[in-house]
Amino acid sequence: MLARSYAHALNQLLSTLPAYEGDRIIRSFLGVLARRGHRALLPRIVRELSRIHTSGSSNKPVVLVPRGSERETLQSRIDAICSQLAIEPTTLAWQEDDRVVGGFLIRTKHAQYDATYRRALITLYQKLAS
Amino acid sequence: MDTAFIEKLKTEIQNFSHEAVVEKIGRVTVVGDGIAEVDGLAEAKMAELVVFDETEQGSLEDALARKGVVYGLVLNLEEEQVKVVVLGDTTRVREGMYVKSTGQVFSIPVGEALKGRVVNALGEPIDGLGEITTDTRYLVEREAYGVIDRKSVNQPLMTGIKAVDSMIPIGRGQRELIIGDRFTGKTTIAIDTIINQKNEPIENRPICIYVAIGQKESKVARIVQDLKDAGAMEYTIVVSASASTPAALQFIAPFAGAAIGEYFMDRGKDALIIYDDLSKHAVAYREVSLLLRRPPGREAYPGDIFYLHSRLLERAAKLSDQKGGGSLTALPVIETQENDVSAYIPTNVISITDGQIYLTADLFNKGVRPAVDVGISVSRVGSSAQTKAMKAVAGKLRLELAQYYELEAFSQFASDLDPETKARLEKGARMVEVLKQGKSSPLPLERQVVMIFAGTQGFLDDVAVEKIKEFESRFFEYIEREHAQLFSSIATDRTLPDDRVEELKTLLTNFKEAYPELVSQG
Repeated sequence: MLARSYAHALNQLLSTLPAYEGDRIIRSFLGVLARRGHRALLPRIVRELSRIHTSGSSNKPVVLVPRGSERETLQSRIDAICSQLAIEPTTLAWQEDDRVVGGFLIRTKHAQYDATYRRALITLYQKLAS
Repeated sequence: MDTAFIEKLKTEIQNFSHEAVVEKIGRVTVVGDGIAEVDGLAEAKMAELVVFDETEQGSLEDALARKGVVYGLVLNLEEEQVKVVVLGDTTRVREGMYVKSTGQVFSIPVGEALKGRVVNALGEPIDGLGEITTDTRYLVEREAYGVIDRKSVNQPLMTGIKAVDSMIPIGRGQRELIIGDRFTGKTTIAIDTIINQKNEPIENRPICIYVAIGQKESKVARIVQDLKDAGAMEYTIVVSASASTPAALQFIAPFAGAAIGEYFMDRGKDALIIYDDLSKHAVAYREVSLLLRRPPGREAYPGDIFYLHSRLLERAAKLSDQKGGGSLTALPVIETQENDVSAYIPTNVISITDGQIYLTADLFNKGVRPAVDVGISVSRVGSSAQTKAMKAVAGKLRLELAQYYELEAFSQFASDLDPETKARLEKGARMVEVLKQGKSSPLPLERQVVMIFAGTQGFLDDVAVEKIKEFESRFFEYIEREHAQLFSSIATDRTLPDDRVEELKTLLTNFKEAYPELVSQG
């Protein structure tokens, strides 16, 4: 819990202040840890920072489409779904992933809209096999 | 080529509708020790079932080839993440894996189809007898019935064990704890109770549920075989969360068993559930709680360990007539260490239940089996759950036995005893012998009544202690041969009126005259 709080505080400082202040912030941070006797938390703080960074980068909304998909034909449908999911369409990152087979998938941190042929094929197979 | 199958496939494919779905998801950030920390799942509910999506990472062929699904149970809702207990093989869960919400609080399939089956804590069959098809699911965590919906316990649950049915009677809807050290016969009492239900008429026979928590697989297999051999498996359901299953499944298993029992109770039927044992259940819950980083309390158990067992055992009830009159009787088992009933978990469960059957290793090693210590065993429901026939013969039995044990201790120091004390000691020794019973040999009510009557009325005073068992078996044969209607009449109306008492006295006298070799000075 304490390590997480330290990691969040450091992350917020580093992301809000200019880049040239980075070294000074980190030196100050280490000084604060030493003064409070919490240097032993450093490995856990580093792990938490890594988790925050990974979570942050994976939380951006993405749309997965198979290679060669025509963006224009999907755009209007995707825009409609974005309004359903309260996503700003301009923030969507397009990624090509042949594993979806066809269709598309919109994914955010908390929800996904799955209109892929992959899911349809898996569902059909499970129905036939049951 | 199976053309019918091909036609079926064509119809399925033609009618298949591919609709997109919106799913609530999260992503696994940390996984280890059976716990997955999930980022996302903003609308997750407590005790919600989630599914780990193993298929997302691999190819379509891998996704189609995958068998089974790994479920998780949401147990910690934190500010930035959700902690999920993995209900299955943790090695299949990877960091970065997506987790999908099912939207459902954890429930299991319940119904008549479970009778005769062995299932795990998720309600999945593990006996190799095929899928179980039910159309009803019950929540695993359910609120217990309130006061208004209940009725006093007034119907006996016969265990078939003389020492229990005569002095510690159990009623339908009661919670009676079976407590003792290891290898004192706790499970035997529970299994014999299940087997004895075969002596009940079908319309009155309770459905039995045996929940094995943290037991050895070999023990569970042996119990299932014993039940099959006794013909008891047809009305029994076994829920197994053995020692090799994750702690989360061991934690859930008793609640799953209670849900199965409540299905029958809600339909006006009687059910009996045995939790074997709650000590291991407490240990499993401690393990899960510590892994979820919940603050440890006394003996490292979480602060809500009492609530864990109280909410489980409160689900046992006798329902009012308006609610169908069904019942769920609970026989929880607790293992003590070195006879210490003042330890944390035993005292918790003793304070929750409506009595306890206390088994001691001393009595067990002396050959008194079942090793019931009648001095501190009690049933708080008492004789209101006892048949009139048993009340008539066993009224003073507990007091006489208590006096016998006191005198027995005293007699070791006294050199010369008065005739009255000697007579009490002799009679007490014979009553102890009468109450001994073999494993898997439950006795129906009528035989218990007859034998206890013989002992308490002094008809065994001139029978040697070592011949009591032989006397019993031959007397039963004698009655079946000569006066079978006595057994059937007691079994039917469960009373012992004066005329039947006289008939029994005459039978005993005639039997002793017919078999003088059984009679001698003790």
